[in-house]
Amino acid sequence: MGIETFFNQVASKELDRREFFTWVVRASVMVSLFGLIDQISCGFVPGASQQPSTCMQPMTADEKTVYALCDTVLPGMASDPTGAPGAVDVCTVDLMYDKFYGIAQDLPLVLPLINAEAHKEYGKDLYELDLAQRTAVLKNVEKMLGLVGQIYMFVKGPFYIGILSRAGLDYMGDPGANLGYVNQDFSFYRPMSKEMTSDGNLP
Amino acid sequence: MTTSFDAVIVGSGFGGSIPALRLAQAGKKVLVLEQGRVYTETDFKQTWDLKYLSNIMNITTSDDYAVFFRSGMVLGGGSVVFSGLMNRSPSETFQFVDYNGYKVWPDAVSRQVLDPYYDRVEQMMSVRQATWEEVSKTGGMFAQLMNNAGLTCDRARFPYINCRECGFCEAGCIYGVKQSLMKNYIPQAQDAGVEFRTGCRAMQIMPSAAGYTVQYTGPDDTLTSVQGTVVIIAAGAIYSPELLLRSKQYLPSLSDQVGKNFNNNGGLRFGIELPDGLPSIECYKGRDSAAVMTYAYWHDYGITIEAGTSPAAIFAIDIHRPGESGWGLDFKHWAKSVYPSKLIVANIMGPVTGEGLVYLNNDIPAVSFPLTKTLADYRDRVIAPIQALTKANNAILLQTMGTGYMYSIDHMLGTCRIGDDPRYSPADPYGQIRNYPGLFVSDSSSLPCSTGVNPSTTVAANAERIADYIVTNW
Repeated sequence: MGIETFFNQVASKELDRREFFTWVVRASVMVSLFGLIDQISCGFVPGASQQPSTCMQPMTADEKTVYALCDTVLPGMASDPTGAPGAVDVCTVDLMYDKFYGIAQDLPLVLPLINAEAHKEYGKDLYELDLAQRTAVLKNVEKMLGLVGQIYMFVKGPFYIGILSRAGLDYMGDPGANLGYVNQDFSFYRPMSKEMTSDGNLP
Repeated sequence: MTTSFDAVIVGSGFGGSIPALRLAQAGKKVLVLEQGRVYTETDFKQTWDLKYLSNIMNITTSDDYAVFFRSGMVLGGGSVVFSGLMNRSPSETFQFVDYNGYKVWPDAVSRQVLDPYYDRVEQMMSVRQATWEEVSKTGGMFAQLMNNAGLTCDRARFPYINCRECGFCEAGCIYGVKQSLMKNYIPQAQDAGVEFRTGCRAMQIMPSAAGYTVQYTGPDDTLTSVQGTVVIIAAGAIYSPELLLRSKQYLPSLSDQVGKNFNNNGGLRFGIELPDGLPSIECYKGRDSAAVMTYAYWHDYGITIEAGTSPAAIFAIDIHRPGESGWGLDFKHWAKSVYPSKLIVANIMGPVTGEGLVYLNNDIPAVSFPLTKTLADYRDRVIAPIQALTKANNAILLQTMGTGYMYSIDHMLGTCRIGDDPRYSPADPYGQIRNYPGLFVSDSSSLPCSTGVNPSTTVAANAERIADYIVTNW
């Protein structure tokens, strides 16, 4: 839907509240992703840990909700019984508020919905709940509005891509950038199947 | 600065650099305009850093934000950022009839016709079949799964010499062992006198007395005009139609088919979680393509499948077990449990009617790629044998998007397609835009349909064929 059509439909009340919210969240999340693609500086030097010395500490209620959102999508050391790192440990919250990502301006659209669901189920804001309760809230929100899944996906990126820190890659056992695997154990070094062709091409 | 050429070519990927060399060898004065910059081994980085990648790729989404598309935006185009799998299209591909009953490939193009051009491309780019020693464990394990089910899996063909298996082919090969166009066609074209201007974005094409005028913005944002007796558009399946649509006021007889028939080569991505008890496949090791390709489903289902190695970044997309969530504590622990030992990500490819559309939205190219009934039927049909394969191996078929499968993002085709019927094809069988003699299209946008396999070799062979036609007739 083009923005002109959108505003025309808003003006003529053809869009209901759910469609309106869906459109706004989808558009704003994708704008944020484009901002990420265009602007974020996230390269790490091969072999060098760039674990930030400190991550942003949440102060306001909104910041605490964002922290809780990240720590629910990919629970960190404090929430994971195994003590393994998660989104907040690789400073994902910082990236949620990083001006280059621009996602912070979209959060006011999403956080009220999340906290409304948290209050409906448990009578508290998201950040006041335990992990199981937070997970239940975010799953309910995802059922109501599938597009928040894109925000959850955004939260996973810094951890699995290694944008600010190698902690996620180290946890996963991915060496990341390297100098190659020549003469190392990368192949089974034997035929693994019968083949249909003589040279790799079908006739 | 020279402003008059025998041929002006927009784009330096397979569709652009190949005609550039062939026309220069025929004594023509050739200019290539490339929007991207020059990147060499010393400039490439072994990282999936999106800021870095955005320097060498165009990344865009469908207009409903559901599908991402990426294409090369660097001197050498897609050859610099592709995974390096270069198989020929099977013969049956060229007989594909869409649901309108239209045979999409022109009669002038067949596997037999293309074979001599495939030969040229393979010789130029040192393409050969991988040995089993060069197949990564991911590829070997995928082949083993096929074998366990009584099915075949072949070693693929690729353009590598002494590969280090580092896993960053699509970020640009820092070792220079992937034989991209930067290793063959482009330097030979430069030696033959072709002028490459980088950082130059073509804006409009206008007919002129000598042929066509191409206006472009250079690195300093100034608008420059050049003349070409022949103009070849080779900016890819999104940006070639963009240029033509933006020039429509000067090309009023342009076919209304420009931008239509967009398809993604039937690309559908899925994952396999291997059962316990198998050796670790260390799935981050090897080229981005695992160097295997199965044709076992080609004759019954019209699809091929390639397996790929996987960095941990794969979990940033929505890969997960069916019925389970793609986030949360359980997801995090599951991801750790399958990585890097038990996860295979693979890509299905096959002919399907192209129903997508590239159009201009406020002068910016936009892509409509809805999940149509055709695509949904295709998805359901081609997933069925994969479900059987995983079941036969006690493996788990993983989903890659919500409750379904992610359409793959790299192989865009069909938006300025060649064909026999002017009603359905903006270009004639030799890539010449109808009603505009001397204006050609020679890239992935000219291929009318899925190639059945990774399309780069067929794009290249078709560009060789079109170059032959231009040299002979212009």
